[in-house]
Amino acid sequence: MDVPSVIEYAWRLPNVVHAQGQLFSCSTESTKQIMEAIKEHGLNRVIVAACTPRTHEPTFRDSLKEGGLNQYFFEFANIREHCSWVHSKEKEEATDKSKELLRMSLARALLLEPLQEFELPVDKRVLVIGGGISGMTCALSIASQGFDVYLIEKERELGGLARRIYYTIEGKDVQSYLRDLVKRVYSEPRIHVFLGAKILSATGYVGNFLTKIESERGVFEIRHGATVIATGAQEFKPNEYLYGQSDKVLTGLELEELIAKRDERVISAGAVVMIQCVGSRTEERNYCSRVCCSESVKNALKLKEINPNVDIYILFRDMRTYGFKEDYYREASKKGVRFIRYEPQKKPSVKLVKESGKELIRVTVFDPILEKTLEIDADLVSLAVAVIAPESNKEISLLYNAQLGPDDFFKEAHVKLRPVDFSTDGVYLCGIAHYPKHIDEAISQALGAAGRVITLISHDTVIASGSVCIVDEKRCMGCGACSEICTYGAIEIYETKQGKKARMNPVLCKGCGLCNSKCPTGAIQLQHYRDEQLFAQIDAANPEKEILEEVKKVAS
Amino acid sequence: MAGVSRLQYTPEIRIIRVMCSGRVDLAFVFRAFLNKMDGVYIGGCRLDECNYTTHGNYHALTMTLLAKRIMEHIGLYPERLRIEFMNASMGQYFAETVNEMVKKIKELGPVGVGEGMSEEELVRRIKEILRLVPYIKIVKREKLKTKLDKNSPESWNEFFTAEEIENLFKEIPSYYIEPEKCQACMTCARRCPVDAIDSKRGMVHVIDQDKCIKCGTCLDVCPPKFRAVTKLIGVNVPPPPPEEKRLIKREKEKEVA
Amino acid sequence: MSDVEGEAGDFRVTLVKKPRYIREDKCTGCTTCVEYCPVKIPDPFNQEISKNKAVHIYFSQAIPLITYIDENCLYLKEKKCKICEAVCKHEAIDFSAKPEKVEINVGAIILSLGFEPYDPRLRDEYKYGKFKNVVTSMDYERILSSTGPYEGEIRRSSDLRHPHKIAWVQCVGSRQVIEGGNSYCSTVCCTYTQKQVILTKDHDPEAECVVFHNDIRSYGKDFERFFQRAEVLPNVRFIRSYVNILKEDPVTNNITIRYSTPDGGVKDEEFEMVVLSVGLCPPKGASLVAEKFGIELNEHRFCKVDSFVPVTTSKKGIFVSGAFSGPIDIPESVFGSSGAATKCGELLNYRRGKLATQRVYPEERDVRGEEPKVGIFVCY
Repeated sequence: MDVPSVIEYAWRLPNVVHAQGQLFSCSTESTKQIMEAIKEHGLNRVIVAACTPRTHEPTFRDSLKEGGLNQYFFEFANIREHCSWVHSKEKEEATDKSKELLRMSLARALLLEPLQEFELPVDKRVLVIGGGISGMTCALSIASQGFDVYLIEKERELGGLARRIYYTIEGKDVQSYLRDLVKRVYSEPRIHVFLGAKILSATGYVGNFLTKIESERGVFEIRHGATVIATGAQEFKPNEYLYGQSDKVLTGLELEELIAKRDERVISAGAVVMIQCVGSRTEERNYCSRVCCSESVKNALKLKEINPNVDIYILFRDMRTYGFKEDYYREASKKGVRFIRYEPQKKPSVKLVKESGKELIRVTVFDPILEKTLEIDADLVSLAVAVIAPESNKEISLLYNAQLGPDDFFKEAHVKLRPVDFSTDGVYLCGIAHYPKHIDEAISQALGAAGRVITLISHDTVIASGSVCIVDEKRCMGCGACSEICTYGAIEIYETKQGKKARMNPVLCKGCGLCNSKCPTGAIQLQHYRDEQLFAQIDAANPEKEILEEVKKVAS
Repeated sequence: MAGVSRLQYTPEIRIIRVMCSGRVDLAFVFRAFLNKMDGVYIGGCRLDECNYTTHGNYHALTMTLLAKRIMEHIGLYPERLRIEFMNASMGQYFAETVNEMVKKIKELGPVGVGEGMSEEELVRRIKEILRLVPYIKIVKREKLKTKLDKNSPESWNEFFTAEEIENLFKEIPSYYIEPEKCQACMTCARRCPVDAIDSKRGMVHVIDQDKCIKCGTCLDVCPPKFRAVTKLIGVNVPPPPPEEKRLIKREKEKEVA
Repeated sequence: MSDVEGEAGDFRVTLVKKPRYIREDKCTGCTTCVEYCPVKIPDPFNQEISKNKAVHIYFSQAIPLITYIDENCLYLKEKKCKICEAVCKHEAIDFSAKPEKVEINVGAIILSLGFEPYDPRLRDEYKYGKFKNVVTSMDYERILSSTGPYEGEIRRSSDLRHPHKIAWVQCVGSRQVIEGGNSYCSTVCCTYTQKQVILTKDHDPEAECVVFHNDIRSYGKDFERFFQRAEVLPNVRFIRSYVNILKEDPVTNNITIRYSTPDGGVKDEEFEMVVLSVGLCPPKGASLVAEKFGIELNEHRFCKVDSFVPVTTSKKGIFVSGAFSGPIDIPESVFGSSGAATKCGELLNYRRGKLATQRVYPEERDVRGEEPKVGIFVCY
């Protein structure tokens, strides 16, 4: 591309008082040049024709600030990714296109306005909702870094679902870990525990939340800068396989309790059948509950340990003992646990039978490998039931604008890149409120959430972008087209003497500009991408007209 | 990605950055055609992969489908407008679709010329649409919010029908203040979002039809005891009363006097 | 990393930075040197499927986006050539560069060594490197990429034709207690294979894709739906069977796979390409790192972690994130990393913010009422 001719063209554009080439605009030396040029020539708009704003916009905005100019007076013309690199064989066209891109940028630049990024104070206290392993772990990590945490739990004791888990597949004692964790929570002076708690209301936004709770200790108003949702999940209660009708049919957790207590029924059991995917991977709950395969293997190994003569059958669809847990699956297999696969359209069935005076559960299952139907008489049947999201998630979702996924588990801002954040700033999640997971995974995520919280609250303020929407009340007809599509809840319609009007909460606005294009009257404008700024850029793409002169008129 | 990967594509395209395809206003599309752009390409994130929680790309999609029908209505090839959904790793796709579109547009010829329309006529028609954008947004508001089925793009084309657009333009209303009913209370003028109402004290108010965006606010706010504003469809707006006849004589005032 | 001394709160780490022979402050990434370089080498980033030059940019999104000189450079090997030095307008080539020793003092360490993809050459039965059109999933990942060896077109190396019938073999190197295999499940392969199937169908809607597996492990959030998305695509089959990669046709280089059928029989089927879904192995050099840092490894030679707190290693002040702690997927790596970071925060909290200084900007000029005065800076 012929850069000198682009520079020469730049000089010919209206209002340009300085134009120069730079070998590498983003280098320290070049940004210093920009800063000096701002001072020397009294620049009040800066255009860099270079690469992509995605990587370098912050660098150049910083140069403007260093030069004493509002950073929103900066405009980027991408003549590299949008031009020289993608038209490298058409030198002339690329040069012409660069000039046009520059002209378009200039048109927009003339209409740029100074915007202020506002600094919001950050309340250093944190609310953690849910006193299970995840909530406690998260709270402890935050507190140990010097911040106050309000830990609220709806039950009358801490521990959550882990109170019903006794050991891990690796053989570690969960109850003693849990006891220790609870003790650490209570001995940490910065953690304030509220049991039997219920959230009455919640308002506010990142750095400044206000939550009203009712608990055993009374009604409290809590001010906090960050919110962690660690509300956990619960065990699905099936109404199939005679569950609830026979005390020989249990859930996995119920069996675990019997094993832990060395219940006679377990010690003397001749045969135990475990049925996988009960309530998971169904039409109603189209997800895998992740932990049940390993949990069943874990229970099977423990059963074999205390009662080596027991026959164990695990009826599965796919064994999902992922990672190192595969070794335990193999071990179980070696120890004689029989794994029988079933197809979802040929689910096992159970019925109560009396065999020589003894009541048994007869499990019938079609084995696709042997190609025959098997009948197993079991003393106990354990159902690997789904882990399900509690009904209360919906309420909490509304209180903190924390989105839910299709299965009513909380939905992270980005599956891979922001797995403990919500798209609502200042709200984080961890543990099985996010999705079923093992204890170590929940702890890892709880620490992850603590890390994100600390990132926020270790600063005194949080900076909100200046490129947010504003409402011109005079032009607003109060139709509500804007507020109904803003999923951030940034726009509110309220009554005025002049009828209904939209009101913007700039803190919640994320600057997408959808409301701007929905507004029939142009009353709501996304600053930095206002209608007239974009119109000017569109107009300037037209090489024929004396557009720039017109834009200039508007600008002055 | 097309950029960093240095994928080559045809140089006719000029890219304007917006933070979300949902920011692309119906007016931008026609503003581009007014400026002799021969095509408009909207690039959005993949459906259901919006970076914002607003799913602005679905809104961009319905807006595009509507714009295409309007283009047909005024005699422009709808192929001049295209929307594509992609993520950052789909540079190849971007390059391919841009090439394809530019090729197609070269076949169609320059905007207006390809359609056999005089420049004057083209400008007139587009300006008329631009004037009606607020009205179109109001009338089609609900429909534009629809989240279409991303898995059946073949059905999108029928989302707005030619007949529907026909009706949309047939039913364009005008708002008119009946001089004999207006009591010059200034309510409508104060509430008009675009200052289209001439409202001198004690004078019959008059709507400037060129400025009016047909939002109907005046009709809604005119006090029920006057009911001076009427909505006219399919008839010409009567001319405003001459200046000397705009003075209102109120019975009460006379008595007091 | 050449040396570590000290303890939690005060580690001294010595690093040796290999020379790139390019001056980072001068190179603009223009790639003129690449054009002129006479040495072609198998492109390391593209799994050595395509060629690159001895001087090249590692990959198109590399940071910094500038070149480096590979050890296969003629000058580095035989003191010949130096063409790049002559053509570089920015005087960025620097053959005098030497390895640079850097000493850093840190309070805590996070080990994020990642993983090593399983090398199927370890077992003959995979025929990798023997049959031309048997590739690993890492190879295939590059083949699918627009910056890959075939610029985003799916081609096979034997004749550069587009394969229309592709088989994936799951659990390659995973879930096997045999010499050269790993006993554990690599956790990510089921889902990445489904992704590759979906992308393949995006490229070529007519393609026939067959996945040979033994359990579909869609255990992660939304994985089940993702699997269903792949499963319902036309001409896509998921077959539960171990396979035998039988033979390569000497003319077409197509590959025959033998697998078992639900009725207990076996079937031979020919494919134009076979993708081996390779598992995750501990990173290369894990043992050396463990020794230097004084941490323990587990029986699989991944980092040994606390059984409840999987970011904590056996040594105080040293944490782990990502796949070095075992085969995990991206979301877990990301939150685990954040967790490792917060653990460092707990440890070093007493001196938080001590190294930070406040930036002070000059006062902002009020430009209201000024005519626009524009400065334009054009980058070469």
